[in-house]
Parts: sequence; C-alpha cells; structure tokens
Amino acid sequence: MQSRPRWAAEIEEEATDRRDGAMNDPIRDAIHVTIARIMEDWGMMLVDPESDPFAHYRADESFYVARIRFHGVVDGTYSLLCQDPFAMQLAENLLGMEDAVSTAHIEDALKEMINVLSGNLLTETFGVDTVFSLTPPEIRRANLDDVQDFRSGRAFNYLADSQPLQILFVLDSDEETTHAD
Amino acid sequence: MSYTVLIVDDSSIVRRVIEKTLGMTHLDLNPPLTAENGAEALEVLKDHWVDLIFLDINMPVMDGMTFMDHLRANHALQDIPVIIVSTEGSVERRSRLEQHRIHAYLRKPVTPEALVDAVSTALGSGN
Repeated sequence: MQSRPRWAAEIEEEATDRRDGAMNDPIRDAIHVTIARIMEDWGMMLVDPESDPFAHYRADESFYVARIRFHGVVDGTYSLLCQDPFAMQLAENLLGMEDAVSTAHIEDALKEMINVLSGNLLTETFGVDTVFSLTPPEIRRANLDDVQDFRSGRAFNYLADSQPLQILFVLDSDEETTHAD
Repeated sequence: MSYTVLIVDDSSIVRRVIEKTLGMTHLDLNPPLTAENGAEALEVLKDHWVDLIFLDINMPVMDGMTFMDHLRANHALQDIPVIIVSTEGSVERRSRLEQHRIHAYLRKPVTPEALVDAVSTALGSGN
C-alpha cells in the first residue's frame, strides 16, 4: 500500500482553496493545458477557456453528464457536462463523417473522453510515480442537480469548437469538508 | 500472408478508431476481431488464431492485467505480441505490464502514426 506523500495533503488544500474561491494556478494551468492537448489531438476540437458557459448552452438541447472515479493517494471524481451538439461532434470526429453516429457511439465517445482526460489529468497533476485506479466511466442524461453542480463555481469551463464544455474535479476530502460545514 | 488482429477494449469508439487506423498500414490484414473485455477475448482466442492483440487495461468483467496473466500462462498463446493502449500513466503499472513481455505501450490518446508504427514493427518485422 502506498504511503500518503505530503504533497497529497497540499493538493487537497489547494482544492479546498479553489472551492473557497481562491486562485490555484498550478492545478488550473495543468488542467487547461491537458484538456486543450487532449481535445485538439484526440477530439480534433479547438478549445478555449470560457467564463460563462451557461450563456452558450441551448435551452432546446439536453445535457449529458459523464463521471469517473479515481482511487489512490487521494480519491475523487472527474465529471464533464455537455450538450448533444458537442457530444455528436465529438463522436463524428472520432468515427469519421462517413460513419453513421448512433446514441451508443455518442455515449461511448463521452465515456472515452472522460477516461482519457482523467488518466492524463491524474498524471499531469500527481506525476507518473503515483498509481491510481479508475472506475469504469458512467454516462447518463444530466438532471437539474447535476447541472447545478457545474454552476457551483468549481468547474473548469470551455468552448470546444464553440460548444460549451465543463469539467469538474472534486476530491472526496473536499466533499467531506463541504458536508461538515 | 494475411494477419489477424484482436482489438480488446470496452469502448466501441476505440475499437472502431483502431480498426480504421489498421486500414492505413501497408500490411495485409484480415478484418479485425474484437472483444469488449478480457474474458470475451479469451473466448475469441479459443476459436481463432490471432497474430497481434491490442489491449486496454481498464475494462469491466476482466481487466487487461488479468487477461495478460491468463495469456502468458497459456502455452499456445503466450507468444502472441500484445500492444497496450491505455490511459494508465504510472511507472509501476507500466513496469508490471512490461514484465509480461508486451510489444509496445501506447498511452491514450494515441496518434494514428504511433499505432501504425507499433503494428508495423510487431507484424512487419515478424516480431
């Protein structure tokens, strides 16, 4: 069993600072760089940070939420929120336009996206010497509570080929602190 | 000589992308076989000879690590080259996989060029 390095506590503290509104440049920058690289190289989409993704979401489109849990020296969850146009575009980019895109393909594309993002983000954040286990990703239609989570101010917000996309990174210790308040 | 490739990944997207990329190689390849997890892959191997396996690690039912344990313990299958395609980034996990004599380790997201290079060296050189 891995001993818990001191920096794991520092990461948790930084995540708490972010929850409390403080700026956290190293983690935020690592996430920005990794997401941009993954989406451009793999998803074939150009990604830009966006301050207000909810100004870009469409009222006539449904949301998807995808989640994956990680376990290691710290435990937590990566989540993403998007709407159908983004999900469709991602699946089409991955499969090639000549392939018909089904709902199963779209959901698989989003699951793979959160899987690839999480693996790379964990390495970028915690280094290659740290072992994490990832649960199989989950995908479903988002409900109001899911969407509200992404309004909390903790999400990383982007436009990917002009479609809103949000990523949420929450440590279990962060949630425990929140619920204890 | 036509080669047969087995793609083992729980994502239909990944299986399809690898399949399309295999079409970019200069090698004579049969339509690839696919499996959604390690257990399904072992069933495929009971009925089909394969020349190369693409293998994900994080899969339900039977993960890639466990599949490799079974593969290398089977005298008839132990020499099939395996290319890992995974999001795993830790040195420890990769080291453990390399002890199973994997041919290559490709970290997701994998570029088509890296996939083509890996399969070409695994099959083109006779491995």
